[in-house]
Amino acid sequence: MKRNRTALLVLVILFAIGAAACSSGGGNNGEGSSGGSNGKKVDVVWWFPAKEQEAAMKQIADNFNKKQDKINLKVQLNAGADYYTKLQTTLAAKNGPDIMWMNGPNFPKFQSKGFLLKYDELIERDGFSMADFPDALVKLYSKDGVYGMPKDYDTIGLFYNKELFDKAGVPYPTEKWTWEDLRNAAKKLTIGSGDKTTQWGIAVPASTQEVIYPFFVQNGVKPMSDDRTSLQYDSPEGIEAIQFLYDLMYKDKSSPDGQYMTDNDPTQLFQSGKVAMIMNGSWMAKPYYDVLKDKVDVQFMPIEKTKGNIIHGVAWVANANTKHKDETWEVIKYLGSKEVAMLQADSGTVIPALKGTQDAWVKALPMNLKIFTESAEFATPYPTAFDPEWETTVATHLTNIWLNKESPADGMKKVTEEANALLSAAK
Amino acid sequence: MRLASETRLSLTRPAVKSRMRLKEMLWGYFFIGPVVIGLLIFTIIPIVASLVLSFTSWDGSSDVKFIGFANFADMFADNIYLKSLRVTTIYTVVTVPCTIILSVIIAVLLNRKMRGRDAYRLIFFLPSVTMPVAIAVVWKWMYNGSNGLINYLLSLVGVDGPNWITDERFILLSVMIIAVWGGIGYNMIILLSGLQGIPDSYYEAAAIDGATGWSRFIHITMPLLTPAIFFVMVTSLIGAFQVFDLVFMLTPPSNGGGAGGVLQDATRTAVYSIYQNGFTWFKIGYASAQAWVLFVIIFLITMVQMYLQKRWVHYE
Repeated sequence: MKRNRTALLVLVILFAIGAAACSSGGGNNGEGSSGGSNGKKVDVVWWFPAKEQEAAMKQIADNFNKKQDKINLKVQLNAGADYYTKLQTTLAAKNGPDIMWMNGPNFPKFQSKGFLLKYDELIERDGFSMADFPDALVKLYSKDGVYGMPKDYDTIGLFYNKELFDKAGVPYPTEKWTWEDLRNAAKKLTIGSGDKTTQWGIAVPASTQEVIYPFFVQNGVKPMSDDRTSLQYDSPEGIEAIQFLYDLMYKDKSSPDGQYMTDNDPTQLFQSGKVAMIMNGSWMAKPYYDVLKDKVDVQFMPIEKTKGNIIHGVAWVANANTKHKDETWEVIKYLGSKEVAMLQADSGTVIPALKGTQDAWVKALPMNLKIFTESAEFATPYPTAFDPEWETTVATHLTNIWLNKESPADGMKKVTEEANALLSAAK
Repeated sequence: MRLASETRLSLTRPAVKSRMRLKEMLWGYFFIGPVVIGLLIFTIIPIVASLVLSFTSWDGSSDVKFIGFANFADMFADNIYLKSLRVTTIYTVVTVPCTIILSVIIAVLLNRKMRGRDAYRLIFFLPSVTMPVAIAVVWKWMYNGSNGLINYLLSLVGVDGPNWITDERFILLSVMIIAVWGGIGYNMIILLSGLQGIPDSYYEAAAIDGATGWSRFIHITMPLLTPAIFFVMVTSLIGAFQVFDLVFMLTPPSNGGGAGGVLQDATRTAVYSIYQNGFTWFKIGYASAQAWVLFVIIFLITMVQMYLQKRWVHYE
């Protein structure tokens, strides 16, 4: 009856595989079983979600592994929209990678649950300096100490189509432009007859990062209180900023209105020469240049009460439950080094965060790209809070204002009321 | 196969017989093993887990805290969820009858002998095998308020078309139009097979009695098609209550975690609400509770349908 036993064995194995797949949840628990005691290498596991940066990340890991013989750095791509969900599940089970990619909106939640390693002691021990990174980025990943090693960043600029300016005889934007200058130029650049517009001076979509928050900051409104528990969007300055943008659409009609921009992507309108000015993040520089070539350039955002911009960037954070704290910190330090920053700058995809390494990115295209790196000096971090629901509230009322269903004043009052209730409840 | 083994088994001694039985049983389990394991891991365990989670306030990472029926109580005070049930009901009440009536008409037309019949069948079935993403992209382009195909055609006959998917009064209608258009193909195939199961002898007998085409349709085709219609109705209702992807792709995204404002309120269906609670706001316990409430609603409606079929479905 040997065949019987074989069948039984196969069955048992099948069930075992099933059970194993079930219990491990596909997570890689970054505990290299090798302790660092007997001269073997220690495994440090490193996760990132951006497929387009895979080559650069692999290169960084190779360089690091060649340099020393104590640590084996394993880089793993975890692409897909569920990266943060996956990360949360595996960290909650006290597993997960040692080092991971983190963005601003997700940081407060992960930090508040005690998933992340605080760097302060290690920074002090090794005399590492965080002063070489933009202050706003370090702040974005700080709570009661520093938790993130800044990787790269993006800021916002005013892109404009030189050809359309020349045709209308309007001088190009300068770094001294105020809102009023922007408004007047937008009016002059708008072409149309009756209610058929064929060219708009500007497009102002309800994008928080690229339009709304920068305008708040320029008018002296904080996008989020320092303790991340309240907003003041209903202040006179806050309402004024939104009213200004609303008037561009519905009073001057120099920007397409909300309905039109929902149907037609504003970045495509700019690329096809239907819009003369648009505010976008530094990541749009290359796509715009690829289409418009030497017709496109970029300038600082306009100034109202003050210069203002929004900075967001990715950082490297570490697992609080890592088995190899010192080795992980060695890798983190390397990721914050000049060598890694230069490697990323050369790949041309992102602006590296370390000061003095952005030249390669700035020189990559014949545009005024230095405005992005100079804006980082005075930019405000992208607002983040523990509870993700407050952002939905902001999006909801902004959409209603943009579709002309709520007035700027009413919308901002409702946002502030609803978001503050959510923010103060989730501490 | 069974006969052979039975006869062979009856000639063997009892001990051997039971061992043979055991062996056969084991091989049986071996063959269904992979499927059973897959079903357990990907369906049954998650179903049980979601039922347990619906009584907790779990957010995906912190400790699981049981809160009794609080999630279910919250739903009655949650205007967003109640509105989503209302939207889902409107969607179902409109799309299911429209889809079925049109499917019956088209199935009957395509059941006649005519040239190019297979080509027409293929055309009507295409939406069922097209990727939802592609469908959404093309319809978005047609629905474009300022330069879309539909409004262009309307302007030719002097009608100023609405903003189909950027006006909260029209967006649900726009979603329903796509749903009806996309649902006809699959239902048509089911109904066609039902039509082809009707014996010709009935029609021949009716023709001898002098029945016209219309009365043949009313008195023979329709009654004998009821089993297929019943099946289509049950599956369509279940599908309509679970609508998600169409709405997800037609509501404009914003960078605040989901679409915004009046457009989303007008189209947020029950499953969209579950998705938003679970994967945007990480209220996994609450989302599980909503999912179970939706399950109960669908279950009850299906039971009612099963009860009512006695009255109108004719099995031969």
